[in-house]
Amino acid sequence: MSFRVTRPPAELVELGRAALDVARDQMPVLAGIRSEVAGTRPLQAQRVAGCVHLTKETGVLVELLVAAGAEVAWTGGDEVSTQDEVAAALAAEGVEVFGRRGMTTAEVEQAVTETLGAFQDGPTLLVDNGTRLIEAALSAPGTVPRLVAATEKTTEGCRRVREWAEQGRLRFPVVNVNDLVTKWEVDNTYGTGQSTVDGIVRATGVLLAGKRFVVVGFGQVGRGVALRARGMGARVVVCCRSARTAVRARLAGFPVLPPHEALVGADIVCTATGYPDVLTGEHLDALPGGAVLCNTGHSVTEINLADLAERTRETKRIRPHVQRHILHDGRHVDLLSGGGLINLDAAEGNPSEVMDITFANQALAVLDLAAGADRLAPGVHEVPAERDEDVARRKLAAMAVRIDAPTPEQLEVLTSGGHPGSLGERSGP
Amino acid sequence: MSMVRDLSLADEGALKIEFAGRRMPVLQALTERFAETKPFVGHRIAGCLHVTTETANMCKALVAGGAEMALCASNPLSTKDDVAASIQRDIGAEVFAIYGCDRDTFYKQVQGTLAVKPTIVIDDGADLTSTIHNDYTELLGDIVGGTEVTSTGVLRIRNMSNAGVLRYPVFPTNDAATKHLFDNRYGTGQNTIDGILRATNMLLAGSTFVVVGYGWCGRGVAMRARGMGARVIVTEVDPVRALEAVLDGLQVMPIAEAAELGDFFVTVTGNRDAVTLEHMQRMKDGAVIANSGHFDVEIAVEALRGAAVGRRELRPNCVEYRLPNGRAVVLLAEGRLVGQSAAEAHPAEVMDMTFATQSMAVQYLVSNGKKMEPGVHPIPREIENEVATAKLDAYGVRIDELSEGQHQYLNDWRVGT
Ligand SMILES: NC(=O)c1ccc[n+]([C@@H]2O[C@H](COP(=O)([O-])OP(=O)(O)OC[C@H]3O[C@@H](n4cnc5c(N)ncnc54)[C@H](O)[C@@H]3O)[C@@H](O)[C@H]2O)c1
Ligand SMILES: NC(=O)c1ccc[n+]([C@@H]2O[C@H](COP(=O)([O-])OP(=O)(O)OC[C@H]3O[C@@H](n4cnc5c(N)ncnc54)[C@H](O)[C@@H]3O)[C@@H](O)[C@H]2O)c1
Repeated sequence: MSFRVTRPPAELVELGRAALDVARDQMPVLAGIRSEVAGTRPLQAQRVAGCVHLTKETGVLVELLVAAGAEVAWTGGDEVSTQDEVAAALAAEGVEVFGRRGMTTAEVEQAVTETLGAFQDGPTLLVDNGTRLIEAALSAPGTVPRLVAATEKTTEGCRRVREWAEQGRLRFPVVNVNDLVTKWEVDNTYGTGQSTVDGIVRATGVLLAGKRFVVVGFGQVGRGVALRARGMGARVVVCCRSARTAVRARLAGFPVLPPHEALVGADIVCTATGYPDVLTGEHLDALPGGAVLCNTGHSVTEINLADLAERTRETKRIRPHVQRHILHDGRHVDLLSGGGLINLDAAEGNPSEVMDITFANQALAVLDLAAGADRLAPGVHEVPAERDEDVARRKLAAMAVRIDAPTPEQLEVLTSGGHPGSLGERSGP
Repeated sequence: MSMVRDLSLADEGALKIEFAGRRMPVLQALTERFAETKPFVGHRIAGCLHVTTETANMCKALVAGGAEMALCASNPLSTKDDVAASIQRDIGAEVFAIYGCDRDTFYKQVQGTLAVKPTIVIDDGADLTSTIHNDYTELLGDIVGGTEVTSTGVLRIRNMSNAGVLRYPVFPTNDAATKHLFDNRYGTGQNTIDGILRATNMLLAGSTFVVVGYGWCGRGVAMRARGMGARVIVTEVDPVRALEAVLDGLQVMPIAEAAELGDFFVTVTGNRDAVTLEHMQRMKDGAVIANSGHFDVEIAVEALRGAAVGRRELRPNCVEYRLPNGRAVVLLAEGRLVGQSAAEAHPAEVMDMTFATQSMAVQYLVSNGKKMEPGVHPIPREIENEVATAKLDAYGVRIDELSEGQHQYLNDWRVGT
């Protein structure tokens, strides 16, 4: 059985087109790129296979690739996130779409394999999100005889690709489209900052003003959550592991405390680190009764759920995303979204404007690869700083914000990467 | 005697009432105190309020203080049937409230409530007070006083007072700082942002956000929009409020100019036609318009519908109207209160302050109402202070006290330059 979307019902296509219309209106940067490439069709002769959550925003990226002349095959790469109406609308435009909402993990794998095999001579470019396509291409090189390059959107994926490169398994260049300042600022900091606070309010209905709100981790995501929680009137305290981020948090005006002190008076605790076991039993023991716990970091392991279960006498579901844990000592704590990503579960994840930037980076990387991938060696490549500056300019134009143009000398300093605070600086953990 | 949908819903209601109660620490402390001091023994209270979990907690406080109580719904659409059942069964007030009932039933419910022969009246919208003065004047002899929670209701009662017909003293809960600081400023501030996010899921950071009216609600909305990363513009008709906005670091300009700049517009004026069709015609394509003022008259919705050449529902509570000039505006919740329509009404923390203030006002009336003239009286300052102190306690925040010397200094007119 194939997961190829064929002859979708007309009503579903209509629904999908309406959804794409709405998303397109909120993605002006992609619209700008699209109008530039529609005339020149620089992706003519390219066959692009993509594996990124099939949402309406992804649909707008796919439309752009088609408008640029590419043949496109796509799959969502995920069990539940595929929007069938968007899949239908894209299929009706001639895109090869594989998969549907509600697949098993094995079915997701099969849809990925089908996507990779959708073209006669195999794809020339891959657009990946979590290395599903890249991994499939590496394990079956026969299916991709003409493959020139790929893009990868996740940090974790890029780490894996680097490992494969070191083992000598990687035979094509992969561009890391995650580590861009524009992507971080807009997506991790402001997008996730907003949707996390939004998720907490939707889940609990509490007034944030006056609440003691502990943010654990002050990276790209933690900084956004802390800023937005403060903006809603919460009394925010930050816990850091790295001295460098602690300085950044303090200079942004947040009290910085070790967790066991910060947690003593916490009303709400949000983890945002990307590491496991950030909140363990000893932390849970320090919490006052009635505290709300949630996580917006990568996985459900940041709050140690086994430690919580060990201390729990009984649980009650008190609102759709709120599980109350009554502890053996009589206190209770409320766990939101089972310790998973609060912003995706209780709110709606990133707004279209945010995906506009993320996907603009991806679209431009694909266009760059089509123009000159032959110059790149197999391995992981960073997007050049000029590209970052370019995307930022496009975003400003979309917001009708004007700035001065740098002189050629200034531009060199801005993009050289050595100057503190320049776009070349990468701030990490 | 009571009128509720189904008493068997009470278990569910009780759970929700308890959940809200945990977030109403000031009212809980009062409940404990009333249970000991029993200030309301011998008193009969008639209430006409939104029948919600928060109201249930206030009823609990009053009944704990010894009151006999009857309650009807100020708006049949806000009644929670499970909560009504639990107020009747567990708290022991007579409840007359059924979700979505018709007008006739509504008046029967008012009638049923007044059958308690109240000594105290708690109103939300002045329906009990006006009904008593029109049709139940025989009850007036027993009534020592009343409270009124909304600004609209206060206006009605002030008009009664000015016309010389009001026969008992009324405390306007809305005018207490412990009410409007929380409800209008912080409550509306948060629920407006919440409603906009739920209706649109758009990014506020970097957007231009126009707040029309810089009163109690407007200040809260502006503060929260800025806190979410928006650039805020204020429009006003009152020069003092406008000046305050300027010194708060916000841009102030006429609505006709702001119309061209905004990505989001929120009206909080308590006035009509704050955003007209003419303003909407100047707006950017895709501009979002919402209202957080009490009535749906602040945005010229009818004119927009009349002029629109296309209508598209983008999401629940989010409708795009295309104008003849080719641009579109997006109207949220059809111009009704966006926080109440697209998000949840006020959080329990906010109602804690409002209802604690109100319960203490009732206690004051019980001891002093007989000595007070009919009319609208400001809530005594001691009540505001006591409620605020209890809330600070709940937050775990301590403050300083005046020293004897400072107290004297502040009270002595002779010290000067
Ligand atoms: N919710 C979302 O939609 C969303 C969006 C983007 C990223 N993420 C995830 O959020 C996580 C954080 O991303 P980021 O970009 O902020 O990463 P980052 O590396 O910039 O920040 C992580 C920070 O956490 C700190 N940290 C680690 N362990 C800690 C501990 N025990 N106590 C205190 N601080 C600790 C690190 O020092 C670092 O400063 C990642 O897992 C990422 O995948 C989630
Ligand atoms: N959404 C909610 O949850 C909620 C909560 C409380 C009150 N309210 C309602 O919000 C409204 C405002 O309440 P408030 O307490 O802020 O009142 P307020 O009187 O303090 O503020 C209203 C402000 O609007 C200004 N204004 C009047 N007409 C204007 C116009 N055409 N253009 C610009 N500014 C104008 C006034 O000068 C004043 O400064 C009322 O209708 C009230 O009932 C809503």
